[in-house]
Amino acid sequence: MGGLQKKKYESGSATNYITRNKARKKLSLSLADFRRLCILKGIYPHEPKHKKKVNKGSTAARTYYLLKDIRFLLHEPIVGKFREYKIFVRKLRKAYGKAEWSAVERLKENKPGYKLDHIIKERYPTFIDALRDVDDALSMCFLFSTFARTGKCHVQTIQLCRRLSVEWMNYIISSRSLRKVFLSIKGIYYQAEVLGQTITWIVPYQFAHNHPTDVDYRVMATFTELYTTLLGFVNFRLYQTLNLVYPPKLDGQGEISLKAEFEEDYALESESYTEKLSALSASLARMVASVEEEEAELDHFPTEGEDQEKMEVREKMEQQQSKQKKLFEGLKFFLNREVPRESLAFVIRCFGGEVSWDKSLCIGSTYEATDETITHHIVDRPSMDKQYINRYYIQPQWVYDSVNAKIQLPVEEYFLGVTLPPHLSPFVEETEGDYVPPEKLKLMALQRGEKPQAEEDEEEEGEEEEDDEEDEEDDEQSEDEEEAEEEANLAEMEEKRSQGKSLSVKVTPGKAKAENRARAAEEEKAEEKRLAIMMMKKKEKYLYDKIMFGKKRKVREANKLAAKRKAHDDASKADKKKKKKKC
Amino acid sequence: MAEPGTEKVIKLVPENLLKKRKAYQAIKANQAKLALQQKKRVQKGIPFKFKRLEEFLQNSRRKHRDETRLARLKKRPPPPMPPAKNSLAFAVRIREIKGVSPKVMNVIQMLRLRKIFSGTFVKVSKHSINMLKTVEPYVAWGYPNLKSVRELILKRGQGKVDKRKIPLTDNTLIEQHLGKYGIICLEDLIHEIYSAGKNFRVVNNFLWPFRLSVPRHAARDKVGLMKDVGNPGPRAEDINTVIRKLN
Repeated sequence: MGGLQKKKYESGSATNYITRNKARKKLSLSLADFRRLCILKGIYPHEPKHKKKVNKGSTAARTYYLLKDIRFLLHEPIVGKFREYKIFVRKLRKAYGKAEWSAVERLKENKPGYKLDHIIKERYPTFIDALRDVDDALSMCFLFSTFARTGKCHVQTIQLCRRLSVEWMNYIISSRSLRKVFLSIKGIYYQAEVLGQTITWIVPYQFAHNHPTDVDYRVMATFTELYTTLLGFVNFRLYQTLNLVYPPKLDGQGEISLKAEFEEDYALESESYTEKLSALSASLARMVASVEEEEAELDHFPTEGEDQEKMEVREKMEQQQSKQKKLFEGLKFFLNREVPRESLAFVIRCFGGEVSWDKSLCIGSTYEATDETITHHIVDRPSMDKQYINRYYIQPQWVYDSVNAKIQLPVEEYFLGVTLPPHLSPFVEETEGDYVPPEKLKLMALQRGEKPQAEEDEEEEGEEEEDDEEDEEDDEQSEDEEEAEEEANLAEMEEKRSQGKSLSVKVTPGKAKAENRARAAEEEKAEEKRLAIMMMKKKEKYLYDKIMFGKKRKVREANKLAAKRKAHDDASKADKKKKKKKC
Repeated sequence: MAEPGTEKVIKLVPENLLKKRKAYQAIKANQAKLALQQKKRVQKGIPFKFKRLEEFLQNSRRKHRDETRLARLKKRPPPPMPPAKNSLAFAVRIREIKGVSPKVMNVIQMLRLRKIFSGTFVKVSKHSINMLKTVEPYVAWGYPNLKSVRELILKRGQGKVDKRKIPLTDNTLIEQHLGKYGIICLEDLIHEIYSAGKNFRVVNNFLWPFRLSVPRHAARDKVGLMKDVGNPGPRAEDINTVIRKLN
C-alpha cells in the first residue's frame, strides 16, 4: 500500500507563520499591549514567500509573524505585567463608576508597573552593541524633551528625557568627543566619537511644534520608554569610564561660582541644581581626586612596511583630532540673547572654550558682558548699540564652521551684518570627479596652512579688487591649463615608451606631424577600444555599459552644478557692479 | 360695459384679520424650522441638554456670593501691592464660571481666560491686582520664574495673526509682527515678557492664551485634580508648581 497522503496546510509554510490576531489571542493580550510588546522586544512582522499557502488558500492581505517569534514572546515576564495592568484598569473604572474615591486612591497607590532592564540586557549583550544603537535613542529623547504635556506625553517622561539628554551632553563635553555639527532645517545634527563608535543624533530647534495629526504618538511613547531605559544604562557606564560621579554633580569650584543672588528667580529650589547642569557652563565632579594621567604615547613596534604606513596615517589622524579638541582653548565667549544658547554653549565647551551669557537669559552665567577679557561676542542682530574694541563681534555660524573645518576660521567673513558664506555639510566627502564648491576649495587651502592672498587684496579699494581678483583667477586657470597640458604630454611620452615604440629621427615640419601623430594615436586607441568592446560577451558588454553610464552621469551632474555655480557668480558680480554704480 | 359673465367677484376681508393671519403664518414657519433643527440634532446623536433645577439654583447662589463679595470688597482697604521685583504675574483659570456675576465675567474676558485651564501673563499694577482680586475664587495666579516663562512660550507659544493662532515656529514671524518694537526673535519676546518692559502690552496681546493640559480623567476625578492643581487665589511662587504639572 502507498503511504498515507498528507492533508493540506499541515506542514511547511503554513505552520511557520501565524496571523496577528491569532498571535494576540495566544498571548491573551489586547492589540495595544501586543503592539507595545513587539516594540519592546524588537519583533517585526514577516512577509512569507508563499502567501497563499500560509493563508490556507485565501489571498486576503494579512499581517504575519513567525511562530517562533511568538513562542519567544510567551516566556516574557512583561506579559504578566500587561495582564495585571488590564485588571487594574477594570477595577479603577469600576471604582470611578461607583464614585468610591477612597478605593480610587488605594488602587492608584498600588498601580502595577514594569521594568525594562532585562529587555535591555537581552537586546544588547555588550556595551558596544548598546552604543551602536544609541543614535535613535538620543534623537528621540531630545525630541521628547521639547514636547508639551498632553494626554499622550506625560510630564514624567518629558522631564526624564530632558534629564537624560542633559547628562549625555555633559558627558560629551567632559570627554570632548564631538566631531561635527551641521545646522539643517529639521534641527542640528551632531556627530561624536564615543569609545570608537561614531554616533550621530539630531536635536530639534527650541520652538513650538506643529504636531502632525498622522503621527501615532502612542507608538513613539513606547519607543521612548525603551530608549530612556537604554540611555540611562549607557550614561551610567560612560560616566564610570570617565571617572565621573553619576548622577552628575557640579565640581566644587564650579558650584561656588555659579551661586547667584537671584537664584530663586530662575527656577524652583528643587530644580535649581538640575538647571545649573542644564546650563552646561561648569565642569563635573569626579569620583576620586584626579591623578594626572600620563599621556600614553603609541608604542612603535617594528613591523612590516604596510603596517608602518597605516601607523603613520593613524598617527596623523590622532594628531589632527587632538588639535581639534583644543580648538577654542584660551578663548572666552559671550552669547547675546538672540543666539541659540544651549547649542552654542555645548559646542564651545566641547572644544575647550569658556562661555557665558546675560544673567537674565539663563541660570549659570559665569561672567558679564562688561568683562574685558572676552575675546568673542556672538551676536545675531543687524547692529548693536555698544561695542568693545578688544573683542570680535561675530555671528554664530563661525563657531560651527570652525568646528567642521578643524581650525579657527578667519573672522572677517562672519562679522556683524556681513552676509555669511554658505554653511557646508561636514558629512559629504567628495571623491574624484565630484563637484567641489569653491568655498570648500578655499577651506582646504586654509586647512593646508596657505594664507589666502585675499588679505592683501582687501587693502586695495574700489574696482581694483574685482580686476585683481579676475586677473588672479585667470592666472590660476591658465596655470592649471598649462599643468594639465604638461601632464598630458608626460603621459603620452610614458605610454609610448611603455609600448616600446622607437621614435624615428627625421627632419619634418614638427607641429603638423606632432599633431597628426597624436591624433593618429588617439584614433588607434579608440579603434582598439571599439574592437575590444565588440569582442566582449553580451553580459560583459551590458555590465560595461552600465559602469560607463554611471560614470557619465556623475560627470554630467558635476558639470551641471559647476554651471549653476558659475551662473550664480555672474549674477552676483553684476549685482555688485550695479550697487557700486549707484553709490 | 364689461360682459356680465366674465366679471370676477372679489371677496371682501377685514384688514385686521389679514394682518393676524400673516403674523400667525410667520410664527408657524418659525416653529417648524426650530422643530426640524431639533429633530436633526437628535438624529445625529446629540443628546438633548436638560438643565436640572439644582443647576439654576447653584448658579443663582454663585452669582449672589459674587455680588456680596464684591460689595464687601469695596468697603475694605485695597489689597497690598507685591514687592517691586515681582513685576510679572501668571493667571490660570481652574474653576467653572457658569452663572457668575457679570462683573466677574467681564474681568475674566479682559484677562482672556474664557476656557478652563487657560492662562495668560499679567503685568503687576494696581489695576491688575484689583482685577485679580475680583476673580479670586476662579483664578489661580502667582509670580512665575524664568524657567516657567521660557517653557510656556517655547512649548505652547502661539501668536495671533489676523485673528488666527499660529505656533511660533520661526523667528521670521515674530520679526514681521513685532520688529518695529525692537523684538526680532523668540528670546527677545521672552525677555520682554519676563521683565515686563514697556512693550509688554503689545507682546502679550500678540500671544494667544496658553491652553494648559490636564489628564483625561480630570472630569471624573475631581478630588485628584484638585490635589494636583490646588486652590484658586494668590499662590505667589507656588504657581510654578502648577505650571510644571500642567505644561
